[in-house]
Amino acid sequence: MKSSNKVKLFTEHPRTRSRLILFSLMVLAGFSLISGKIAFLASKENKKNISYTEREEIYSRLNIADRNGNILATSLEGASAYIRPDEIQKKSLVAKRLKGIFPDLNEAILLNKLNDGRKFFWLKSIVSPRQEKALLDLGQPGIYFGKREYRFYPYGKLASHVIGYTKVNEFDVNYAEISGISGVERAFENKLAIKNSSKVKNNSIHLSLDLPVQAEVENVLKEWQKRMGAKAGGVVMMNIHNGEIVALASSPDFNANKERGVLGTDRDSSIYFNRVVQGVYEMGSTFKIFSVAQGLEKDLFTLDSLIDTRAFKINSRTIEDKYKFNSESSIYEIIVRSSNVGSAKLALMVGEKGLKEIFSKLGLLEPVRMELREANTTRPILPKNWHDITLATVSYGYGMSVSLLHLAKAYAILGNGGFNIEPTILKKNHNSQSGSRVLKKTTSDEMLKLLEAVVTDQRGTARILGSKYYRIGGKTGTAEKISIEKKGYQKDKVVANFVGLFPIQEPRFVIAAFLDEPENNLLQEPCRYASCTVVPMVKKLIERTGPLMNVIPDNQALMF
Amino acid sequence: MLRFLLIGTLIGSTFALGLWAYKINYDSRAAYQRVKELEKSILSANKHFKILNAEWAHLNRPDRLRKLTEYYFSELRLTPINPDDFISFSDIYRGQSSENESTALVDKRLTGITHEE
Repeated sequence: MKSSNKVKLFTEHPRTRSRLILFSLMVLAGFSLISGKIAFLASKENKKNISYTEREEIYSRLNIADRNGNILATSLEGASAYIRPDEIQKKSLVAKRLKGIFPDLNEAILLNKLNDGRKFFWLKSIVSPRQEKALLDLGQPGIYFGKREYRFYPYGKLASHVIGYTKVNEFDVNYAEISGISGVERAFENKLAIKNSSKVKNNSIHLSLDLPVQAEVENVLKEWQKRMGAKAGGVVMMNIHNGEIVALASSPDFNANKERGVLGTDRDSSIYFNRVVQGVYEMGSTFKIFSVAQGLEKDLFTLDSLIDTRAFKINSRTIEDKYKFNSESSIYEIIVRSSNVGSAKLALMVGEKGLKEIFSKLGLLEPVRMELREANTTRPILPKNWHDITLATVSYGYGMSVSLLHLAKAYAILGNGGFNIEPTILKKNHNSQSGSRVLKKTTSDEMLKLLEAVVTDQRGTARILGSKYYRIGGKTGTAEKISIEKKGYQKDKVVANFVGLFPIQEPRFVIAAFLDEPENNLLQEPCRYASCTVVPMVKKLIERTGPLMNVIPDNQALMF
Repeated sequence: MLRFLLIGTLIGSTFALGLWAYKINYDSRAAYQRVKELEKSILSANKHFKILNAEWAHLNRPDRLRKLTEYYFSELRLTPINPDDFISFSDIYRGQSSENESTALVDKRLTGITHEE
């Protein structure tokens, strides 16, 4: 009885009951607290703030690499140095020592900055690791360093016009924002300046350029420019099937490392000008082939058709040739020996509509569409009207200016079976044509025959291009430059160019090259024509770069 | 008695669970710290990587390599790749048939090629 009372007491006593409930609640609260904390920890892991790595690399630009992964541009971490003059005691001594580390600084100006009561000034926007160590070794208070990312171009001047350069936009003590000013650095700004580059698997943009080929092209171009005393020069080499630019060189060039992101004012700004992409020139005879292509396309004539090649007048202007031609010449001969009269006659046969049609198909009437902004903004200079005299002169490359890249693209379409292509600076993973057909296959085949004849025919303007290794086809062009002082053209200043396709039996590459004001003085008489200035250069370029691009020499290829 | 046991177990398990939660919390903090340290070292390794890659590229500058091949030409006889360097299968076969002939062929390729055309 007693015990049952006790039990009753324990469970039914109001105080005991409430204690029991209170205790249960406490246990429940404890469990809730623990499970709450667990849930909090679990959820926090997902929404974790940006990690250390991401924070650090948030402003790091991606690398630019060539088609084989060679690094053409990379971002490295450096330091900037700044000074708080308040913390410096022996100011003149410090100025002297700083001058010792940075010989380019002016000691007097430095001392003035230290003394004029300012709280802060930048010593250098970027210091090299060696200079940084020297500054630290001074053990001088008041000199501080800030983190700086800077762009490094390991190959210096190589492909400088394609890669472009950057500048520092905003900066403070710990941070500097870099942005592209020209070339690939500008064209792919959004891709390069991607945030959290550590999260990007492939931390490079792969260009279509081939480093050894590019190096060889620049080497030969510079050597030849010097030899021919030319002011400037340019070469572009492109895959005619997918539009990949394998090499693009413009001379003179620049070393973007020296700029450190800021353009020097005392430098010659023309070195930044991409002559291949931005420079438009009257190209001369390299244009002759376009009216022929249109004629073949419309079945107006065949390569054997005879054309009257006697000098003739349009609007009191006489059109004549430098060399003597028979009164009638075949179209084959007109191209091989480069007759202005014949070419003008062909253009008149094709007519304004026809000429414009072929120019439009080959992309000569508008900027070349490609990634580089320099290309997209370079418009060809077209004639204001298309009178007969204009048709005649345009047919042999006067009165209309295009870039070397335009020419390369046009010849690529003529040589690749007639498919439209769009030049690209990015590596493609396929070699197939992506463009639509714009010319007949037969037209393209005839063009290849004609272009090879310019090289192989004994009378051809590019006969010295005949290589014992490769079968090459192409067309020369020499255009006198317009005089700035007086009206008309200057006889002694020319732009010589050549556009070729190789190996011609199964064309893979187009090569377009030009020299500005060349003169070959190594011959008995000085010669400015493309045939004795640019053509020998192109021969060397092809024989040097062909093996690098696995183009098997023709004489050997037959043995396989 | 049973109730005491029950209460005891409850209190005990509460403590145990509290301890367990504390340990988990502590471990996860430590793990997070370790992750941070690892990330830091990955980052510094990556930076080294970048510098080394850039240096390697800088050392492989074509103009530098060109000078080096010229300097060491007598020992290494390195020449730019040339269209003559492509050999057809028939050449290889011929080379096998006579040891002297193949040596002569290699010899010619090594010594007969000049830089300039």
